[in-house]
Amino acid sequence: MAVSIPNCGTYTVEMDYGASTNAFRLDDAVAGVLDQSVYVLEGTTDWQDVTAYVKQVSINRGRQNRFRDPTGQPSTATLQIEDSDYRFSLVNEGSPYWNTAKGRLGFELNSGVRISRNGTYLFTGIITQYDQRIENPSRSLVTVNCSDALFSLNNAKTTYFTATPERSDTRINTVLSNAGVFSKPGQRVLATGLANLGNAPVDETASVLEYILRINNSEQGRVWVDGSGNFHFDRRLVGELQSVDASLSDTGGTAIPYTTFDIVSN
Amino acid sequence: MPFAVSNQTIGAAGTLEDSFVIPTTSRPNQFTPLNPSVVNVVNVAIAPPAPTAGTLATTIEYAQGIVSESVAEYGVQETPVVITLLATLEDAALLAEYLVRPVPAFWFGNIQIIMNGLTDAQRTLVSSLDIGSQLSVTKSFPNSTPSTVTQIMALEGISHDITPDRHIITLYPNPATIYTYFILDTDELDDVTKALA
Repeated sequence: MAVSIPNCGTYTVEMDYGASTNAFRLDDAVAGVLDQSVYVLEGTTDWQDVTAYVKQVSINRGRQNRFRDPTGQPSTATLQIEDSDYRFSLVNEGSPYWNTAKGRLGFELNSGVRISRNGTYLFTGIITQYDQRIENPSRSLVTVNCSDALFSLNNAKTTYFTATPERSDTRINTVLSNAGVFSKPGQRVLATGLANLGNAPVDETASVLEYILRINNSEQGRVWVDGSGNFHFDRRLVGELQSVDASLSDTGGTAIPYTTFDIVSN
Repeated sequence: MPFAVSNQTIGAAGTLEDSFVIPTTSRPNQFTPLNPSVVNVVNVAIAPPAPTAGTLATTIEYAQGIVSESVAEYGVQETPVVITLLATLEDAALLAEYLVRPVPAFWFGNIQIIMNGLTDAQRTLVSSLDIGSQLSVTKSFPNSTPSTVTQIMALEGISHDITPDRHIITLYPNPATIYTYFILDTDELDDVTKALA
């Protein structure tokens, strides 16, 4: 169940136990049969609230320094779980999260993870690594490493198409559509780009993420996935007129106070 | 500082590094030179045409942007020639102009906020911030002129550290060319950070 942190809010950490159990798999003798109702595309999510077992969450999104760090790095989240009753154990067949059909724990590579505060998602992604550490005699600590959906774009090749002169955001939209990702309504938030791209051939050997970053190399904007899992592309800012979203100050008043900061000299 | 741009060509296309071969995990901003404090010569190439039977060794055209005053002051701080997908040399020149940084910059970064110490409204606001959000950061300094400095920046990164008793957020804003709305009777004229809607 969700956990309340004093003077912070109510936090929820959820891991998907369902999608891995009934996801349609192409060419699979059982899960890949057409015209049946058990195995469906992407599986049916069954979010398990594991907040009560989590003792620490770390989330990193975006980049620290735009002059030195690349944009488009997948966001990461790390969960530290105190597994006192071994329900997160990789060997406990009696775990409520055990997948009897597969004969292994239901939380595994590519299982969904989402973390929220008062209903607002801070991170949505998938498991990329799952480690269980035993401290003798029997203390079990589980570390779950996660990445957002940009990570998955590393594993898909760019589909060839004939490039035509167009803006950077139009090209990115085409690449995402060809890859069949971020295809639900509202999952793509693409700002109008400033870069006019030419008709250089599309390299099919590049992953989707590599090609998107090459497009952005011409734009020098930003590429990221937000806390709810939606894809964003921002153009480069050249004299943009924008409102301030938040004011931070150490001088009191209604501005948000901060404890430490660095004066970064690049 | 004055910015000048010229069009250049270099030899065979195959002699340049192909950006496709760089692993994504280690991909830097390819325009970042070794010393990124100052960038006063920027080279933005457009993709060369495919070789044909008559011209196997195609040449690469690129726009080179130079800030001469900065070169005189800091020496040549040059980016590599980076092949982009841009359509024309004019587009490349616009990108080169964006990428030059003739003088070193400083900004307020790595700003740590402890959620436990905020009001409900402030907590909701901080939670809603995302990459690309615009921040105004004010800091007062003792024994310093001016005594208060405010910077308007764009948020490039966010990290959260959450434990059972606290939630610490670190914001990573970066400089951006942003204008905020001029407010009559509040803002002053000739402020380069203000603009009319």
